[in-house]
Amino acid sequence: MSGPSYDELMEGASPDEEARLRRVHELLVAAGPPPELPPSLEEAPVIRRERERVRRPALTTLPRRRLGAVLVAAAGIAAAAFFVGYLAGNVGSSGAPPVTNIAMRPTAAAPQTAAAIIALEKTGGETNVPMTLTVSGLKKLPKGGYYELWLTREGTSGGKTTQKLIVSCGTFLQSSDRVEVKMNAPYTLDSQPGWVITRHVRGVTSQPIVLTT
Amino acid sequence: MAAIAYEVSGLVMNAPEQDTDGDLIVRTGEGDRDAFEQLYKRFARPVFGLALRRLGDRFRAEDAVQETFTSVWRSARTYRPERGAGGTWLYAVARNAIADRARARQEPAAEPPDLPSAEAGPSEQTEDSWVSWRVHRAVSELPEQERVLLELAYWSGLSQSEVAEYLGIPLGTVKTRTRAALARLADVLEGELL
Repeated sequence: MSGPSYDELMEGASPDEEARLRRVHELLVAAGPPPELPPSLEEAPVIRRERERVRRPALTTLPRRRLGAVLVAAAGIAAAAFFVGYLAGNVGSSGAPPVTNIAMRPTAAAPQTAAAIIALEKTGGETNVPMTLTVSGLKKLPKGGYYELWLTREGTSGGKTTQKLIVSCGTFLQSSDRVEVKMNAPYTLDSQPGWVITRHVRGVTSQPIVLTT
Repeated sequence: MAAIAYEVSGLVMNAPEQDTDGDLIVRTGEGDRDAFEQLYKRFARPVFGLALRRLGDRFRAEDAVQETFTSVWRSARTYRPERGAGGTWLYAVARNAIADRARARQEPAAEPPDLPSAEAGPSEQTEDSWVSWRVHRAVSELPEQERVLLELAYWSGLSQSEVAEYLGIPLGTVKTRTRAALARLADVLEGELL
């Protein structure tokens, strides 16, 4: 990958600054992106031997963010409207409503009008739980990008409450404003898990959570 | 769930109170598993990248990463902050583990042809590996907004216009912020690679 046009970036820069930044530009181009980690390396080796069921490392924790009251209210209204609309459009029409509907709300990393519903088709300690994920309002991603639904569990790390990614339930694209995708949780739902959706963009190392329960 | 961060596996958190690499190695040497996990999140990808470049084989590179961090866990107590930065120490541990893995490779039975090679020599490979290691680590130290912008601009294959469209900001702002991010990255790399 060659990176952006260097000359365009440097318009108006002094010769010294231009030379300094050119070197950084060349280093970035030469280094290329770090590789994606294969699943076998997603957890530190020593820790993995001690935890049998956790297949993903803990999400790091941040201090609680003070979200603006307006944003919270807007997100709540959007989620509620989506949920009501979803039920109106689905329950009854099939004759067999899903056993459990779980609403997801947007994080600060997503448009505040985004929302999702997970319709679990089985509950009560069963494995391979099929589900229908209905999502609206997420951004359409550049080529190669995708969203991923994860089952999570609450835990602690360093005295802080964390959400651990347990297992992926599948990926999807926000190809239109509202998408409906069949997914599967390959896991025994023996208690109340959490759910998150992460965003993946090619070349970008962070995979922010965009929707959460 | 409001307290969770928006970062997942193998990635670096850019919180202001972030521990230095050296701090984490020292704490790992004291048996602190949380510190070890943080260290792993920061360095697993750079180590994997280093191993891939040197070994050219994903499976052997995965083994080398496991061996690197097993060595880190065992030998972190030998790290002395006054002798150098934590990242440099970890790079040396990784390089040794990868070299061990490379030596373990079965050599071909036939003599290789005595022809000049177009590939970089060992010293050039070492230099290239170090540069990539430092650049990846330096990018991960940038504030989130600048880091994502540089990753999109340089490593996603998107044009500047596409980056602007994806981020929902004007093209001129993308250019201004990219330049500012380059300047900050230059500050981080000053004295090492500049």
